[in-house]
Amino acid sequence: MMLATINISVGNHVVRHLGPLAFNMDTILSTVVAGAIVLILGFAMRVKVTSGVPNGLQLFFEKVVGDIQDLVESSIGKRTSRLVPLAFSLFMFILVANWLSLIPTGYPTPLLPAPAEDVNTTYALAFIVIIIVHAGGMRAKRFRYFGHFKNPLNLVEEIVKPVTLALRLFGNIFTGGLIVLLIGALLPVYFVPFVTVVWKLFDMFIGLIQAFIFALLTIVYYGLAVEENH
Amino acid sequence: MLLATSDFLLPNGTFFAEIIAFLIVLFVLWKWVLPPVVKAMDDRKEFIRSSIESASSQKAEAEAYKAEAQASIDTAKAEARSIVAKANAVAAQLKEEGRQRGQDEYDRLVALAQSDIQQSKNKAVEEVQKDFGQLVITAAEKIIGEELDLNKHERIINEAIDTTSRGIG
Repeated sequence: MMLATINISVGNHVVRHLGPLAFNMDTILSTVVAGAIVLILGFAMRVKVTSGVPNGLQLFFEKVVGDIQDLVESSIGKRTSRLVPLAFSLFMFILVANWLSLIPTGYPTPLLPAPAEDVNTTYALAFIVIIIVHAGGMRAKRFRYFGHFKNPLNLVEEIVKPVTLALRLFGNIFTGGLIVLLIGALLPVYFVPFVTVVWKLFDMFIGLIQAFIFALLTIVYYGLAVEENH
Repeated sequence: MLLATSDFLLPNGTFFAEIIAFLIVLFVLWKWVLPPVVKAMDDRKEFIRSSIESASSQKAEAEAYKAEAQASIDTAKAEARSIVAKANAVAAQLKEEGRQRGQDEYDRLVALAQSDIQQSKNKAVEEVQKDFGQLVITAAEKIIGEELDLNKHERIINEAIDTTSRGIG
């Protein structure tokens, strides 16, 4: 019996060193491309923005912004919060970043992997989120906010929150990329294109869901932090 | 076989690059992309709200006009009814007056005719009575064979006339 002998390596990146720090250049390139796409879409929408009949792009932006405003309102009670831009940016950036990996840019090592396939990206996003969440809590409750941490379980929860936030996104997206590799390695070659297309369509759905969950949890965590009688 | 690098779940310098990249995206979206979207949405909401408001105020106005029109129609109907009733009353009165006048005329004509008849009758009786006296005298003369003097025998003659008149009358 012949086992697939191809070596699939994960967590390997194109690394460049700058002083003591190592940089994964493929992740950074993907991030820049994803960020550029988000900003280009944003400005393309801005050029033709109208309070009359919106075009498709503006409709998409309005739909996302409206839904996020609804979520923010249900979580902290007001629509016009600084939380809206944060959740909106997270959703848009993660969505575009996740969908970036749908474009075939090389096998087995794509030129543009999904940035969330690298823990650096998800840690960074979760770090920003958790800083803003705690800052919001402290601003809302001043020193009373720290009373919350007297319970060690709460302290553990607060430490776990950003870690799960980061690893959930990483795990889902990383697995998506891994399965593309496995399909290519283990299936007969004439099945590969068909199965890959089917998987990528499903992966697209996962990418959307994960972007939504990340933004949603950001809003929920912020709501819990600023909420009184907690 | 999966080969993972040992620091698989540990961040490296990329972490800082990612933070900077995302903060740039966040800042640009926050400053330049979101405000026009939110403004467009608010403007549209405001436009729809004011449209609904003006529509409902116009509806109220239309209803007021309708009520006014209905009131006018009701008044006109009531007026029409009273005019018809009045006309009917006038017609009835005229009819009654006409009938009365006809009756009066009839009565007058009848009365006139009756009085004419009575007059003619009286006249005829008078004439007959006038001639009759003479006739009775002449007849009596013939019968008794002597002349009767009107003055002498007035009582007898008058008796005869009265008897005859009663017979005629």
